[in-house]
Amino acid sequence: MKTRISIGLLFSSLLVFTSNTASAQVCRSSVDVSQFDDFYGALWGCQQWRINDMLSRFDMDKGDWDEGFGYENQCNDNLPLKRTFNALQVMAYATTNAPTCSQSSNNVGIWAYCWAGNSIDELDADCSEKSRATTSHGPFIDSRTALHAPFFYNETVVERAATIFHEARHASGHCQHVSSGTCLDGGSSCDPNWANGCVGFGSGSGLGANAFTVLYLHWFAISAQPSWTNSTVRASAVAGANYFLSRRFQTDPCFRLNSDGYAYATC
Amino acid sequence: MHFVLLGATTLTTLGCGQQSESPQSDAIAQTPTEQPLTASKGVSIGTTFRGGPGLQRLLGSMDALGPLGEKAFELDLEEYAKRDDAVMEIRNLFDSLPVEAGSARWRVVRVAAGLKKREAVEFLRQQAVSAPVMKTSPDGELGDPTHRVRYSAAVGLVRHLLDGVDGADEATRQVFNLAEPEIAKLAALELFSKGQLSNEHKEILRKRGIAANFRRIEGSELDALRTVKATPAVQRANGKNRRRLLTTVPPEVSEAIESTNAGGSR
Repeated sequence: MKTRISIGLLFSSLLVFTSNTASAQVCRSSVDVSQFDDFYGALWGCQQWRINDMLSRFDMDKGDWDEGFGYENQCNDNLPLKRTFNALQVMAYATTNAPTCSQSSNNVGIWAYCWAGNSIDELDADCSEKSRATTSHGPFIDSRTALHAPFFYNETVVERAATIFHEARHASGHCQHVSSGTCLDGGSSCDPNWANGCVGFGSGSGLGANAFTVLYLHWFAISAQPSWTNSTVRASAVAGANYFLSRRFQTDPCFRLNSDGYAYATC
Repeated sequence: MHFVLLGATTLTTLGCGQQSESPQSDAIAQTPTEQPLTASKGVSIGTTFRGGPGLQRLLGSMDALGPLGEKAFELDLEEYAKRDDAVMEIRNLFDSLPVEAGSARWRVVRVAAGLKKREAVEFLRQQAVSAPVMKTSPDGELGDPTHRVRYSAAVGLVRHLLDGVDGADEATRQVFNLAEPEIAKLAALELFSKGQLSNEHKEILRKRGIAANFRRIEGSELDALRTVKATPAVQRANGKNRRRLLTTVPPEVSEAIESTNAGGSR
């Protein structure tokens, strides 16, 4: 399932993480731009009970996360598995100490972790560089969500949490993006609009996956617990949300976030 | 983007068009002589200019979570701002980074945004009014790796204006006049949200066809915007329910708390 791709410049003296087997692959040769993993990793302490919960809840199998992806080295912040763990812990505990499955609150940060865990069939990893994540489902295939190299290394921990929430929306609502090239900026991975962005064959209705990304980042920006955030992380979340609002809808949602994360009508 | 295979559907999402960043650009290898930051990696640039220890320390300390970490970053920023060559060093580091290195360039702009110096105003203005760079990722996704940088520069410029830094007012007007419309709008929104968007500012935007009829979304309108309709959990095909529905405290947490209270350890 994992493609064996050697990527990047390999400097033997600079390898910041090693693999245990000769067949192990390395998605990136080094991690040079912090994406907040050090601090989030320290915050939840790589505690075993949390790891057990994540592995079980998201069906993260050894066979999908070994050979360089971190299963044998689960506390290494340079490896995909730990970086995914950091994101899942943010999803669970950044907004609340008591995450729940109840969706009675509009604050998605309170229930995102449980809901995503129930929505995503299994969480896999590979070194593909072509997108951040993909979700596949269908009656004749093994439904799964695959996380790729840009997810692990080009996104902050909080953005990764938002991405997993986004993918969970694909998995649960079978929401699909619309045709390539039709985004406001001519790009891809768009939803038609804010309120009814969940479209496609066999899809549900309501907010689409891109709206889920925005909502997660918005709620994080305005409601993350002080110990789980700072002004830089918040700024990153707001910037990410505004990027989606300006680029990832065919019809402008007509609102943006200010630097504090609050929503303002703009049309 | 998605295809049908034996009745299945693959939902390709979040192509590199979203904040597209070249994989090699951020992962610029360290030179053997570089030392990792103790607190955080910050930005480590290999073969080109990487900034002195003061700037590297700043780029690392911006990661520190929580009020104490935030305070430490602010103090580091204040100290760094006292240097006469601060902006020049920032500019040199920024210019050494390829456009695809969005994360690294963003961090550098974040530092500049907090300096409250006249010299930083020009740097921020230049970044805010720079043009978008649309790049196509390997799978054909189109995206702009500069959006975040330009947006943060514009917001940083607004902060300088609000702090009364010399030259920031004129520089902000230039952003309204010259920046990509979306960036100009976001800068204006920022100023509006702080109660400082003037009629003159609005007029500049209006002449460009940029609407500045902002208002904060609140109450029932905000609730409607943020309401997510509950979707049922997906039942897995094999019928196994390997996941526990999280109610309040997971069993493991209860055990951990009990053990801790009893003086045990896990």
